[in-house]
Amino acid sequence: MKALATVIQVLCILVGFSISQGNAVRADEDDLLYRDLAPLRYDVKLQLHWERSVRRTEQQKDALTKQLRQHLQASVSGSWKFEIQQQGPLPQADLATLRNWDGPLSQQLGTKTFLITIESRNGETVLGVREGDHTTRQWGHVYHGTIQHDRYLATMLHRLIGQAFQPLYRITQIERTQIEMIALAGEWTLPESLFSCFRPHGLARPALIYRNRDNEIQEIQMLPLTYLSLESRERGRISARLISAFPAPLGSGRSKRVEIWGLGGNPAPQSTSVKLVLQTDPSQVLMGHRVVVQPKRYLKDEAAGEPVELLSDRLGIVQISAIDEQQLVWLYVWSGEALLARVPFVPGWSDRESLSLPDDAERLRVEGELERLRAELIADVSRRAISRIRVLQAASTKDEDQVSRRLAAHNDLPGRAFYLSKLSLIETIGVREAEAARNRAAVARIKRSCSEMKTVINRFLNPDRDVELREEAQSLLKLP
Amino acid sequence: MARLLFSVLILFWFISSLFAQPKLPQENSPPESPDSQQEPSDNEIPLTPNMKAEGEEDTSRVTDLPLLEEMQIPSASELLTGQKVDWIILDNQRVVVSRPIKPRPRTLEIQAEKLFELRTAGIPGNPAKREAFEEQIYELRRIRGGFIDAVEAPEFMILTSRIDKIWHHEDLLLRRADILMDQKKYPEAYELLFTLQNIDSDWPGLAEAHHRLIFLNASQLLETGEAQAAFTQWGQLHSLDPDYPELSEKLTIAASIIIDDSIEHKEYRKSRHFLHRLQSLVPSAPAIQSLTERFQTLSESLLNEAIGASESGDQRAAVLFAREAATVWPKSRRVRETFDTFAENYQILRVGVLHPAGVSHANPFPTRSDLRAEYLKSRKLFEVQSFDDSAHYRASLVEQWEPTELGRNLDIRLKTAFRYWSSQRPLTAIELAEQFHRQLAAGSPDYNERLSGFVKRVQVLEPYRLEIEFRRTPLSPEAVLSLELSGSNPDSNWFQEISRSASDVSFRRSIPEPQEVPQRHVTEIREQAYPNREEILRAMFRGEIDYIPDLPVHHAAAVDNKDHWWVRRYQIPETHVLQFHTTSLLGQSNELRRALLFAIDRKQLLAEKVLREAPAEFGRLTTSVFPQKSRAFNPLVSDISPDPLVARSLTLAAQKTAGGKLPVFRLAAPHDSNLQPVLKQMIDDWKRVGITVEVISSDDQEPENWDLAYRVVSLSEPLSQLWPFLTMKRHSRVADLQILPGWLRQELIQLELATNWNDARQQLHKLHQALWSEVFYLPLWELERFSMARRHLTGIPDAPLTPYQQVNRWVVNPWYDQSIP
Repeated sequence: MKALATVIQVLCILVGFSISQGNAVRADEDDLLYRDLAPLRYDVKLQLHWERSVRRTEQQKDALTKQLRQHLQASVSGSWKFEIQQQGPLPQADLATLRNWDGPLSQQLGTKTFLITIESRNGETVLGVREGDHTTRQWGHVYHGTIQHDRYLATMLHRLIGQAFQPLYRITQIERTQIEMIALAGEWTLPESLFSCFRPHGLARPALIYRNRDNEIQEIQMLPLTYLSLESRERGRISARLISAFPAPLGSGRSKRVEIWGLGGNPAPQSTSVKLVLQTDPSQVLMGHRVVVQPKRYLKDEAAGEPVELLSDRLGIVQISAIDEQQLVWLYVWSGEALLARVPFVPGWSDRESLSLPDDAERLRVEGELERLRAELIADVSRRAISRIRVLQAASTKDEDQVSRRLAAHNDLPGRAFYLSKLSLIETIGVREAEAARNRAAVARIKRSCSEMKTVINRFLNPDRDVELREEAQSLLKLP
Repeated sequence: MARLLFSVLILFWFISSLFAQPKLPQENSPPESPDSQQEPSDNEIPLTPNMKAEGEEDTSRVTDLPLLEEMQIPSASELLTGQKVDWIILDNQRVVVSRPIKPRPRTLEIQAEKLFELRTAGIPGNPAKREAFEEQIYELRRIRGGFIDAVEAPEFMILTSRIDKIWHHEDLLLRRADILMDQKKYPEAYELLFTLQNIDSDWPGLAEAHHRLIFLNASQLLETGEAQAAFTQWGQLHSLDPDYPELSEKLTIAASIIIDDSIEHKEYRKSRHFLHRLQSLVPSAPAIQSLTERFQTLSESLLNEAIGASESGDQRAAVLFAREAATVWPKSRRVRETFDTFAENYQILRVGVLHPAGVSHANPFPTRSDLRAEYLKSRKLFEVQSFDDSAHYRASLVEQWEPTELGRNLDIRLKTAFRYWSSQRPLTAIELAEQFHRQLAAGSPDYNERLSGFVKRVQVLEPYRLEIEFRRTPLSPEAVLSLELSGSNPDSNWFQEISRSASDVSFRRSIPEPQEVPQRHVTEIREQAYPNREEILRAMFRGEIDYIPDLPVHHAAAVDNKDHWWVRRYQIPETHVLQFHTTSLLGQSNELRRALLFAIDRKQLLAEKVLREAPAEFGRLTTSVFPQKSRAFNPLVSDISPDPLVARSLTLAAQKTAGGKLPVFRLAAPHDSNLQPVLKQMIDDWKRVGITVEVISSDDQEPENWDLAYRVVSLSEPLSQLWPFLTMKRHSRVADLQILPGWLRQELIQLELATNWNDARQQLHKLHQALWSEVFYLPLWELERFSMARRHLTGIPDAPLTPYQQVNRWVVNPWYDQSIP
């Protein structure tokens, strides 16, 4: 009987017609099924949590459930098989508990759990919704809203559920940055775009599911700083473009034991705390690093607006907010004059993220030393220019003694050799320290900065000029 | 016809008699009797031109001689700028205008005296001596003069017997001065008298004329309402001539007017001064008695008001009335006793300042007045108590604090009771935890990012005990926790403001002392503004104020009377620095900043414009914003010598980078007249190298629009104060570091992350070197700081750290100025 149902299901997909299925296909039940055929709809549980202070009768609660069911039915059509429950796992029905909830999610393909809190605060009803995706075992962001009257309760909940809903995509093909995906329940045409698997300029985050030989899940990994930009849709098939801080984060996608999924969603209109940490020691935060937020989708795009400059605080944190309608921004992290990282980022998708950066302390120290050397050089070049004028003035008055005295004073001024030796010292110490820290990037940067400084020294303290000065003074003295 | 002939003969005789050749003794002729020579006969011609060698007689001179009554005294300008002349007035009242005659003055008297002496000595027997004797007699019987209008300046001689009197040039000056005085042209008259004074200060009649001028001038001043100036002038005249007519009456009138006016304006000290002056000048003046009684009556009335106020419970009004009574008539015993009682009960500390604490100003940075107000009106959990090479803290609210868990935690036990004079109430652990919460909450207006970077958790253990857990062990927990405690309850402040006007502000202790205590302390602090520091010092000498919190170094060096007041040196000197606005071209151009540094001779400025007569030890050049005795100061950083040529060269380089023309830079500076010479000199020096700077005036419309600022700072804690100083913000927030280059930002962060004092010191020394090399700010000099107080003010620390350090323990012993003003 079950085999017959499967055959019918395959036929339905082929003809573009979907029918309701009793249960979402479970991966551990039928490996073949979930690998080759996307389940036709999501299996969704909506768990309502009423705070004690919210005094509603059972009839009122039932009425709400009924209204919500009607709203959802109209929106999701047959793409969801959902069930609304009057209780759930949360110990307390408030936003803080909801935000901190990190309960387990069983790995069931296409299953989603929505935790809903209803609490009363200052005479208003505060609603919170958070989605848990069982496929990737990810809890989504908390979306919340406030209403003054019960008549808006179902409407508001319906909207929040739509915002919290994270469509699921299975990545089927990877060609460099071009990605082909099949959306779960993507064959359904939905009247409500909030619940659709495709939103123009929508984004998804890739997740890698590692399995062992027994097809058991070993690890699920959400790829950081990597996004899928949804570009076009052909029924259930979605074309997307990969945006990542890494060169090829998804590999070829052909490994049998690694499944690649995409988790869509709506970034919340709020900021995300990004903590800058040291690559070699993540417990060490990076304070005072400049982060420039460029509002653009792809790296090579022109910025869509004015960049925002931020500085990481004492906890190494920068608050990244969305810029206008731009969901995706690029973060440029600078250390002094050196660019440490350039990563795509979607603010609001999570409360906090961390960004690992290489250690640039030694190179920055060298940058400071070079800055001070440059300041000294400027003053000494000025002194030499004035000294040169004085020598020539004395020569034009034919005062040989004065000329020789001033030439001697001129030669006593710090010259090229002095500055090159100082530069060499700075470079040697800097390179040695960077090498000791096995920071090859820093070594290269230090060498490059020192080389540039050397060019400046050679340009402004050319010893040939001193020879020319001597000769010019002599020729002036010899003039009748 | 006969009559005409007779007239011609008479005239000829007269001319002949005037211009007859002098009879000089002939060598071969026998000597005549001196007497016969002395006493010419009536027919002898007494006046003879000396240059009548040609024997020509100038009849016109005699006929032209005017009568005295026809003569006009030369004008002031003629007398001052024209040829000096003397008038010889003959016995017929005709006037011969002559060149200055010698001897002078009293020419005729001197000649007569000499003649008398010569005759009394007798005729010498020796022929040669006798000839000389006769020649002297001849000379002494005549006056030798010179015509003024003759081209060759002929001389003449006139028999003294024919001269009625001589008006010398000086006499003419006096006469003209008299005329001018009659015309009430006193300045011109004074000019003539001054000229005569320079010529001969003993000239007969000069003193009298001078006295008259003073008298008349003072009279005019009185008429124009300048009674004080009139009194001063009459006082001066009194010292010259006490018996001058009507002087006593005039002095009494002027003094009465002044005293009436002073009393009306409550300037009792001034009125007493003039009463005393009058008493010393005119002891018998009947007005003295009535004025004295008036003072006494007024004083009594004020005393009664004081007693009434005290009885009605208004101790402040009582002491203010009593002080007023003491100012009116300090000699009264009743005044003294009443004042002592009230002033001891309600002690008012009177402070002389340039700007009252908390007054609004156009300066972009907190001024000394702001810091004083902040100190009085706020409480800190930990505050710096003393400073040697680093800051040492005290916590007036904390009984005990103890680091635990290797410094990761701090166990704080709060005080549960305070001494009666402390003006503080106990702070509970919950209240303190709330303060922490306010300052640790990111969205709070009191958010303190530095604190939140250190403090992980605050846990209340007991009602007066709490534990702080740090994220990392701070180098100085006291420095981290020297947070300001803000509160909505006014009692939570130490002192609170009770009144304010444009020129003064008063603060009163929040928690009054109980009635029955062994020793009362300062109840109220009243800051009175004065236009400049010299006026503040005068106010101290006059007894108007008890305390000067900021005494300039040259005043500190000059004040030497240790019996009446003392001068105390603060523990931390003040550093004068120039700071640059980060958005200004100055903040962005290293060349320009260095040019500013090279252009000024700081050593000369310090010696000539700042220290002046003060000892050199009171000030020194510096290269850091921190005191030279601080561990933050790197002694290896060398100063640079001024070099205007290098400055000019750097300016040109910056000018080229800036596109050819530099803007006029705006300098914000404290409004202190003592700073003006320094600023002027610096601006002139910068102008010479091509950098134009203008000072922002106090009424500027855009005080926040500045390029460089002159700041005077005293920083004691480098760990917490360097960062806000560089970012020019109140708190040290990382976001404010955005204006600094990346490497400097990281150096500052490394300082905060330092875990031991050696690392911190190394980091501070590195920062000192870097900031000086880059001229991030321009340290000028470091000056010792002084305060000055009357001796009756006790309880002040020997070496204070701040102007009002432990002011709740100060005692203002009852005192008022009883000296004769």
